[in-house]
Amino acid sequence: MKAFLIAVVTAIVIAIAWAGVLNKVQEPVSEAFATQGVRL
Amino acid sequence: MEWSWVMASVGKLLRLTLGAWAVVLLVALALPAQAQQPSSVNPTASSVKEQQLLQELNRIQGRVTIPDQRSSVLEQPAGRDWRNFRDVTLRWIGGIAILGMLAALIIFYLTRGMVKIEGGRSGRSIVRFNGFERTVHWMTATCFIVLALSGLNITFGRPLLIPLIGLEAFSEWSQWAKYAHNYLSFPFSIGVIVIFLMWIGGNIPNKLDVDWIRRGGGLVGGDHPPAYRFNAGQKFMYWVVVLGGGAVAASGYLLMFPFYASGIEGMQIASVVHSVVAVLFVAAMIAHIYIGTIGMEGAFEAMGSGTVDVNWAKEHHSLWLEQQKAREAEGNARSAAAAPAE
Amino acid sequence: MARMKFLCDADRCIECNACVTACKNEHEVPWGINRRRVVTINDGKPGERSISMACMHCTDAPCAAVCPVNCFYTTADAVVLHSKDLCIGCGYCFYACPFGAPQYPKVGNFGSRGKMDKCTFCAGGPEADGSKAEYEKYGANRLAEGKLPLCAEMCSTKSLLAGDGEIIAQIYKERVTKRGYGSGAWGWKTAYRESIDT
Repeated sequence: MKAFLIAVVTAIVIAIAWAGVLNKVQEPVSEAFATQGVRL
Repeated sequence: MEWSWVMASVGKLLRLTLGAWAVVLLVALALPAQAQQPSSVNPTASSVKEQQLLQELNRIQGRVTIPDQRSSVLEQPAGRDWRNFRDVTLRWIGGIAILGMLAALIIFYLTRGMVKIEGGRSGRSIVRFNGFERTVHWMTATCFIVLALSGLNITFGRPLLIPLIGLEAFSEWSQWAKYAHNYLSFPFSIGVIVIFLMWIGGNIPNKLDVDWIRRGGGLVGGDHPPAYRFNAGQKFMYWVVVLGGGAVAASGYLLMFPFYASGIEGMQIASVVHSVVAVLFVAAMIAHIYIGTIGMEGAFEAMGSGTVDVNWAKEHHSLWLEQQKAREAEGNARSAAAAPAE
Repeated sequence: MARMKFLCDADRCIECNACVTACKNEHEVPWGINRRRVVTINDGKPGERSISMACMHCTDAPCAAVCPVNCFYTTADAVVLHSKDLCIGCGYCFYACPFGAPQYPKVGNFGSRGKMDKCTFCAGGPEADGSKAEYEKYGANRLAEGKLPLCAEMCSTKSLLAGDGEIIAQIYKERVTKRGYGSGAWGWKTAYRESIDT
């Protein structure tokens, strides 16, 4: 039982960390495709 | 000055001018309104045609001033084939695989029943999987369940659930399912990698596995072919998880970072690989869950508590049991020798 | 009942991008979202062609077919629209669309791409016609006012035609006959399963 609970918590913690990474890496298109001449 | 000469010159000039204008007029009238007729110029002759481009490259792409280069693809008819795969082909593959597996297991259970410990429980137990192994297994397993359900929702949710709960509720559920699918994909991949590394030693196929299969593997007939820690059936499951898990993970990350590594055709291929492997993976895991729970007496505790009954081990993993006993005996002898005599 | 279509006369398009600008302005389309775009094929070479492309509002729209949450609908004028409230941003419609019409606010992971946005044929969305909520989500609803899409209205060479399919096909046919050439109605075979005989 203990192993199962630790497993679930570990999964959730890793998932939250991954969510943070994804949101940082994947920008809104207005930033991703902005070139030098764009004033946002 | 002779006026008659001047008159003659003016007259000549006048006649010349009139004559010239007459010629011009005649010429103008002779060319019948050419500007209104289709000209002999045909710009289309030297240009590309839509059907020609589609046949040559199966897509039409040009130049755009937009930084997002995906917009330079004007037409990609491959989308039509992908649509057909996603709406028709995949549902058939998934339906047959999963429902087929369920049907096979139901029939198997009704005919063969639960595989019992023939000698009955001995009451003595032996450690089969340690805490770390079980934790990794359960982390991977719980992630798999959520990933499987959220994934199947994308393919089967619309025809099956919308009639039951309506568009808004289904959209809300799907939104959360999608987040869960994206975020739990990472712990799942980590689990698959750890499983690959920690159990690779015991899962290399060998001749004993061929023998095990030939003798029915304890499933067909009442034989108990010997096996080490992992029998052929479990080795098969291991490789399904490692290779199948690897494939869904790789294609999944491509889908999660769309267009980072490929154009639209690459995304469509990734989607096909991801979905086909996933539905087959689900079918295989249903069988794994079956045999680990109701399919076999004494199996669940291996992963539940970590220990198994000695008689269970004797009947299903006799060679592993001998190895463990030998190791225990060796350990006892060593500790007895090491302990200072009192 | 009208069956709305777009037709871009590739022989007249001069890549001026007036259609793009008109659409962007009318619907306040944010930077990065390209509802309408002009693609130039064989740029700089003989036979260069430019085509203005947005959503073709296909018959049997593939985007609607593949959507996991069934957020698309087709109006009585055969305009293909969708609900941003139901959309989960999965991106499937983009994989299915032959013309690359769907646009997303985030370069992102499947499901967090934000709500899909695309050309609405200036027909808004499921909210009430002309309401503020409709404008904020989908842009102007010109069709409800009896007007045609602004991109075609603003086209400097009248290469982009928008309106009832039969009428614009007729206009195009007459043009081709009169001038003696025409590269065809680009995208019509894929979108509507028909071509214009010229």
